[in-house]
Amino acid sequence: MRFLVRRFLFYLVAAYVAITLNFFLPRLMVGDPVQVMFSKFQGRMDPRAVESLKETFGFVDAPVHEQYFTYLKHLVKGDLGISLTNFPVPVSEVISGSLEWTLRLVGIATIFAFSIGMILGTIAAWRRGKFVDTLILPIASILAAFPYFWIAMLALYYLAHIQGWFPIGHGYNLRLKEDWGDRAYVSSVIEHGMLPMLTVVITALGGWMLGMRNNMINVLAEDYITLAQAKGLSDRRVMLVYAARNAILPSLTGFAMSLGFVIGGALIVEIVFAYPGMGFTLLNSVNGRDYPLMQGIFLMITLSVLAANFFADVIYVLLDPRAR
Amino acid sequence: MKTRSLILVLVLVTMLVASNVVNAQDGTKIPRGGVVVVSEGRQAPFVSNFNPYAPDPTPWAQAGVYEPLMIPNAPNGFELIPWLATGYSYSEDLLTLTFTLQEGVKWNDGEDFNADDVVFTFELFQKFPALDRKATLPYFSSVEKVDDYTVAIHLTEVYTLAHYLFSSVWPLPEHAWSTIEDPVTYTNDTPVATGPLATVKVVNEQVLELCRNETYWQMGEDGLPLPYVDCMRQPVYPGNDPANLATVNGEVDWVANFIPDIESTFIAANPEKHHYYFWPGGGVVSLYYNTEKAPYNDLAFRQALSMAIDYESVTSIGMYGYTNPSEPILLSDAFKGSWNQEAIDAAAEMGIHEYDPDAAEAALDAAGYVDANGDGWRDLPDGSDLSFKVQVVNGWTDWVTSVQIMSQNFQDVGLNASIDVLDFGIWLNNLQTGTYDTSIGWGTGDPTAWDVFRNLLFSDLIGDDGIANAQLWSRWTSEEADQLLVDYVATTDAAAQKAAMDRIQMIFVENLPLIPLFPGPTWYEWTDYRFTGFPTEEDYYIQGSSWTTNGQRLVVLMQLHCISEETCAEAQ
Amino acid sequence: MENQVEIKTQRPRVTLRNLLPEWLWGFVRNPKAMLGTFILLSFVFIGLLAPDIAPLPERGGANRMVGRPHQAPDDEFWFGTTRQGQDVFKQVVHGTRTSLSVGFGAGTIIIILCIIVGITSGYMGGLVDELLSLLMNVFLVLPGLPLVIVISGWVDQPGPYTIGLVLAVTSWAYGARVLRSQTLVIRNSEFVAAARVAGEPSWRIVLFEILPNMISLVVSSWIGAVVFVILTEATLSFLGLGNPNAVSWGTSLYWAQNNQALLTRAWWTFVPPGLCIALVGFSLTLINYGIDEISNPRLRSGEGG
Repeated sequence: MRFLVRRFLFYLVAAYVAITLNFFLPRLMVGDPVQVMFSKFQGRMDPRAVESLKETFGFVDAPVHEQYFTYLKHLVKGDLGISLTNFPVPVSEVISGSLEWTLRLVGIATIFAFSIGMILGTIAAWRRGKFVDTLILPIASILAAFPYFWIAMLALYYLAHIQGWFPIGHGYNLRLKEDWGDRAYVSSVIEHGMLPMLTVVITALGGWMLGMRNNMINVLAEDYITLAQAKGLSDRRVMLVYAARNAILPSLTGFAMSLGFVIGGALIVEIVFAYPGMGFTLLNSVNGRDYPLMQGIFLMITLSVLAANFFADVIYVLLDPRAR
Repeated sequence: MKTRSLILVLVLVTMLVASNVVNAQDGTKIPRGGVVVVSEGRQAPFVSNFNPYAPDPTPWAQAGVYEPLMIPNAPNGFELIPWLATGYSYSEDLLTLTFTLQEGVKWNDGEDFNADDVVFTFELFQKFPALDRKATLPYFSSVEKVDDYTVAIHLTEVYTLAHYLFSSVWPLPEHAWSTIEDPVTYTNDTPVATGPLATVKVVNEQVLELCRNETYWQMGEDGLPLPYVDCMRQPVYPGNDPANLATVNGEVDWVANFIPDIESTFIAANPEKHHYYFWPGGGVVSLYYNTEKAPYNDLAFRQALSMAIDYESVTSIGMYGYTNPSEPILLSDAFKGSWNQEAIDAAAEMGIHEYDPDAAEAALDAAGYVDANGDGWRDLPDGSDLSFKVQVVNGWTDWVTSVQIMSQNFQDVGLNASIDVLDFGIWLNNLQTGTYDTSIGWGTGDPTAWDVFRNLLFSDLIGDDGIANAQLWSRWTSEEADQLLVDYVATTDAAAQKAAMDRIQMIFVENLPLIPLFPGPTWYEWTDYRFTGFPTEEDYYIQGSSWTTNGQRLVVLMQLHCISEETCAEAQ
Repeated sequence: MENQVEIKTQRPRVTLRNLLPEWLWGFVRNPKAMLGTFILLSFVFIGLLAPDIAPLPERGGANRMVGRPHQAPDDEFWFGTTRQGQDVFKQVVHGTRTSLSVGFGAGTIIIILCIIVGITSGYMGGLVDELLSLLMNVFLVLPGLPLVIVISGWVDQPGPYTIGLVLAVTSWAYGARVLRSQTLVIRNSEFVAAARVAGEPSWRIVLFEILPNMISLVVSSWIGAVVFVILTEATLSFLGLGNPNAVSWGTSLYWAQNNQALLTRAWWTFVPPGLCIALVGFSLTLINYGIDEISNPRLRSGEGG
């Protein structure tokens, strides 16, 4: 327990550092971001209008440390500021709708890829030289070597456009109302999420599978496995309870972190499949130099990575007494 | 006298527009209903903000939910179509502009629209300059209600094109907005408006759906309020691929996508039902250079550049053949009536604006731009190194390709040109502050030929802070051009205006402050699986692109209806 | 089973010295490693000999427009031309150079950082571990993508090398954490305890006890990092965040996508760069397999079980 409390405090510190970096990152940009931001309005608007807009945006020349404290104060209150590209809509409102889509799609896809990878890796290690080990593993490895967007675009073009097996774009059938009580809506969400999820799982599978297989093989050579087998325990029991439980440990660290990267990785999925979510919002904020929005999304990424890491620590401690 | 004839013209234009429906329908009943699906290519997720004067409001807030006083008809020489205003007139001294308003218009909450609302809107600009998106403030001192349906705008100076500026505002409802404390940050989620699409149904990160205003003031053929369609749905497409795939699949009705090789993709998918027309009437995209710097301050150098560019390749490869090389006088087809043939001939005589690498090399040799140090590239006449960059915006691939072609052209005549691909904000900032060598950039496309040249040549556009506003990025100005531009808007005498316009074009050709490349094509595709009434190439009664916030899309919307009851049912 | 028990007893005394010759021998004998090496070396040669294989025009480089738009592959243009009339073959050949050097350069920087931070953190423990873990976590939460944009504001245009450098500086945390976890496990093992009791200095323990036992993890992390950089550079370029004027596989794919290669059926602009990336990635994965199997013969497929 003491260990976990310590880790938790540690993540708080990490969060603070990240939040601070988050503040300074946009300010490292060359040139005056305010100038760049407002140059878009120039020529379209009267200078007087631009001046008063600047004030409304809160671009007043305050010393950096004052800006920093204002930023922290607002964060504590959960106020992420006002989006510049969607002025005057608050950042939290811009992000709110998209977060759930991202977490759902890529979260589920990552869990799928991880679980299937673990299972197939275990089988590959156990049934060495058989079907899974010699056929599925190499294929999954080849697929993992392709750029994700390349596979995704081919899949969209061939499976959705040419074959018409999947819908093109969006998280649900736009004719329907967003309503989780409505069966048609739920099934359209599943239908629309299928192809993006499939491509994510297919390209991510190879890595997990290979990692698990190799870890398993290492573990299988351990004395306690030999002992367990010598004691006449069933193969399945040895494989699952003794070997897999230990072999999963190294992959688990990776899994927690990949969950944290869900939002970053979601970007391509969302762009290729026109799927709603944070990744696409991030790209837009970056292109539009929308610092408050960028910072808001950074913050979400920061917190989710830290949370995922803490989660991994907890599971690690539960599974591996040595790390306690 | 003048006023009356103008209004007569406007009425004729409206009748012309209205006649389309009759012709298309032969008196049969027009089916009502259906959801028109719109796509405008790559787009940011939608956020609810129906304040038409917000910096970036939700699309369709400006011409859809709200409406302008009058709508310029681009393919018809930007003739103004009466909308919320039925006409305009200038006072004898030209210092007062009077609009007469349409009677019988209601806000969607049942209140009458009248002169109070228009006066309120302009006075709101004075109180909150941040709302003045059209930059009207410098041009008027006060607004006065003459009667319930007449508004007089008192101008600060004679400006005989003021009717274009002032008719483009979207009036706000006084009764709903006068109580709003800060209209600048007001997001107006449930708008009180007069427009045909004033009912907000859905707006989220994936889709925008606006539906008909049941009490719209314009009536259809059947005597019921327009529009014929029920709703307009615009899905968000984060990239061009899914947008184009959906379009090619026929899922979209009204499209403003950039589709590469459109004949072999979109049209080939269904030649019967898929159509497009890229009207070449947009602002002329040009090569700008900073004429405050050497060697761009040297006319001979500028002329040589204009001979080195392969205009045909720029349009056929860079622009996919969707537009043609521009005339040397910077005016697109939209302003054909203002072309000065003498200036065009003069350009041809000088050999500028025509691809001729040999002539370019000869011109550079003659002006002293020769390879002095033997590094394979030409140098400045004083022997120092000459290399320059051509700026372009990252992601605007048609422009990037055009710039690639031009830099290759320049290299072929011995000029060490390279490409500088920049983020949009930085690109624009460089142009405005004059920190660039050469750059591709857009030109003004509307509403008058005067605006085109004013935005490119009028010296007042360079502010005290040295920022070049509008498109005065090449920073070439002359007293004569300034004077001509001032004179043009100080009179209503057509002959005097024509003389000024002719002379400006001659000045432009003689001095080449920038190199016109091609008129920007306006992306516009449509499918007729479900709806009909779209402008076609043969009957281009208004600009068809759905992103025309100046109101032209409203004119299209008035015409759109299902092909039959069945297609109405299909289009849900 | 006997076999495995035997190896197990050997394990603690495996050192760098007696590992190396075996490696080479095993490597040459390993069919996967050899296939991977063959593919990789082919690409290395293509990259090195690019100017001879696909001579460039005097001006304009591989992006010079030399043909008609979207010409299908023929005798003159082996891989056809792009929508801009550029020679796809030239772009792919010269892109090999860029992609490989960016991948291996940045991948190497990443693994060096991983080793330094990960092992130090895991072995030292205590305050050092806390501080380094903090650093790792901070770098884990720094999204590399927006950082590339910020840095693109400093330099003129973020070319592939700049992107590679940014990726190197921001992407070592993942590997470092993995190495740290492994170090934690090894640190608690008997042979390290034995070495400690024997009074060996820390640097010796790290260098000769811990590192050799992690060598396969280090090498596979390194190869993983190279693949990561190649794929991510391609992805960033594809998203239009790089310099569209650069010559790299990612940039080729960016243009192919912008010109709707799939919709216009100009597969020759889309397939070659994608296949090249996949082949290089696959060859590295194969080598990784091989190395794993050599350092740990049990992993060989078709044996044991």
